[in-house]
Amino acid sequence: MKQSKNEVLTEHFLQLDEEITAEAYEIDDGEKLKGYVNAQKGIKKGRRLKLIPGYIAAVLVLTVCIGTVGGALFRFMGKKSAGSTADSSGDPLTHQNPPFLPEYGSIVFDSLDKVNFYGGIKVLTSSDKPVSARSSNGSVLFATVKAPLKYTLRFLNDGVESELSPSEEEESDQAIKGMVGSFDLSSEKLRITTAVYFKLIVTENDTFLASKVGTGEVSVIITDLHIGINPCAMITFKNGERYYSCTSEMDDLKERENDFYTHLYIKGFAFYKDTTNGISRFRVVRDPQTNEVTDFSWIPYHRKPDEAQVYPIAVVPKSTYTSMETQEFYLHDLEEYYNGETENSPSQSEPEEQTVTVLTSDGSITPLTFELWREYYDYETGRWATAEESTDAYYHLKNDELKIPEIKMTQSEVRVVLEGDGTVWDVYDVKAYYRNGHGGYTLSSSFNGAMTNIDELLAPGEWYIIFGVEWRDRYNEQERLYERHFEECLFKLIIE
Amino acid sequence: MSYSAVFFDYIGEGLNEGAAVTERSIMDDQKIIELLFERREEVLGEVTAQYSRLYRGIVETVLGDPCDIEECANDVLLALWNSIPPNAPSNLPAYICKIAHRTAIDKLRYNTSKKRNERYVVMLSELGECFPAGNEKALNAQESGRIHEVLSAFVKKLDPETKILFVRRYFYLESIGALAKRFEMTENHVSVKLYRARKKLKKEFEKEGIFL
Repeated sequence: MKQSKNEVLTEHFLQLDEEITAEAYEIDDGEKLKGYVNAQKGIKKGRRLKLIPGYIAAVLVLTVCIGTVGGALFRFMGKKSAGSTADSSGDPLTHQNPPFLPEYGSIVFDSLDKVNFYGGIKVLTSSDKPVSARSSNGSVLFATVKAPLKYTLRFLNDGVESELSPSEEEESDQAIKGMVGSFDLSSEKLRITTAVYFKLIVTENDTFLASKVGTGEVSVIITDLHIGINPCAMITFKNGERYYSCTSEMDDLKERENDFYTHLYIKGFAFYKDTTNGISRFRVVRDPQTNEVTDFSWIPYHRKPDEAQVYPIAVVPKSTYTSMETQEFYLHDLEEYYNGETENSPSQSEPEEQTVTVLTSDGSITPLTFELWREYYDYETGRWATAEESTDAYYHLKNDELKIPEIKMTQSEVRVVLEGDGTVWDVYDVKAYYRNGHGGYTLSSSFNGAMTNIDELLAPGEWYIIFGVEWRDRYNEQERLYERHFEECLFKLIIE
Repeated sequence: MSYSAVFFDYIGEGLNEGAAVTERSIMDDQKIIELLFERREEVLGEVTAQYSRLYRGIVETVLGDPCDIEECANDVLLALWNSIPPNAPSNLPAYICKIAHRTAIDKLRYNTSKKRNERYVVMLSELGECFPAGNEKALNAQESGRIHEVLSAFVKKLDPETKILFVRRYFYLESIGALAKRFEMTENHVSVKLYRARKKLKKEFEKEGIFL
């Protein structure tokens, strides 16, 4: 089945427009490719230049109009005290009243819950402000939130049946628990296309939600938040200073019905997955015509999902506000929106040392690393340049006498930890080699990358693992691109 | 001997009587199509001279067995002869590639017991990364159409360098090593560019709700 799925896509590649395939055929060497790339850049610049004058004028006019009205409204609302009980009186909000806004200067953005919640409120209450080109590297506000990124390369022992192999009456998936990703938002662009606000009445009977945010009138924001290129539709509940967020398994919001799963939750700036208690969810239903939230329910885990109980939670009538205006902003834009200019201006400090660690239950090692190439902005030429190294890890493995760090794996997990001031980016192309009978190395398996359950099995033995790491070193404000470098890491894995 | 082998032995005889291929100038694609419409068999020699490397490259990528490769290369010429007319492709190299690709896959499916070329297996597994996992099901015509739309739009949006690499890899089935050599890049550079493109394509399919 897997093979036919791939061939389906192969078939569709054969249907690509002839213009595209002809173009690719004509460009058949490095010089032509460079010429083509430069020609395309020239075309894009020309379009941008043509559009700017009219575009700027339109934006200016719009900003003045909306800014005048919106600014006045914002200041008026901002003067209301935080945690106002006016909204908790039981009187339903009317559509004339905008959503609850906090006291000006009161928000500390120390979690994704607040980013999602107040990002959504911003989208609902303001027009798009010009995005600040400023980026920060090591902003003081986030000094404590430099959680190292951890990736998991899952190697399953060959021929070993898991003790948790399911019977008919048991769960089919082995329980997964742990952080699956985290972000340093000091330099990631955030984007929200859809934001929905509404209110719920949570009682003691709504045990799960009450345990997270308490009872009473609870504000809810749903967005299709994008962090950089990472989409994550998210729901955030807020009751006073208590927040709780979890995510959908989809990247975007559907028009009518959306489920948000409590096993995919947020803590700080990290995403966690915990299936040890099964998979429960919140379900939000909207009227596609009016966008009004009409139903909200809690569906706790049941081993037969079709038989799961559905517990409705009361939605405050006419409390829904929706915006489908796309807004992009950085976290410092959000801080400025709610708190004004801060004294802590971001610093362009040099990135701290970047480290890669491989760990198993038997300990940890630092693999050998080989820099492949760097992409950097050349201010002299005004272009992005690439400094390349041609000798990759495999070349060194074959040709050099290396002292390769080795580690044993007796359980099913090898973790790769990348640390480096939030400049980490991605692990990719994991390859496993073994020593063949001719004194060389043979590629046995290659994997898509980290954070993926790998179906391939590695038998007990000695493996030489090579994986790629992309580091983002510095953000170039002018070009709005990262300077980055790529390296490959090599270590020896002994599976017993 | 297969039908196609017999057919092209006949063509080969005709060729030997004419001028040596190497002495002729490269024929315009449009001229080749015209001659195919006129059913002038000698044009296939021209096609072989100009494009055998292209279509044989694709066939060799898919098939592992040398006999199959040889037979399939002949089948490609036969398929070209049989399809033009009525078809009149606007881009002959791309058209030949499509035929070569399809012919090779058909032969592969026919010879189920035979081993696939490792390079093709690797290429296929790369494409497998592009599809978000869903319930395994057959696609209907509407969903198929959407895949095509999403894929076309995606490829058009790629940055210029990645677009060329992507199309050459997955349409022309060029290996990573060959791409690296052709464009004076390292294999890793090519690998990373393709990997990131595949990730983005997967996100596009997810966004469009296409799962397989």
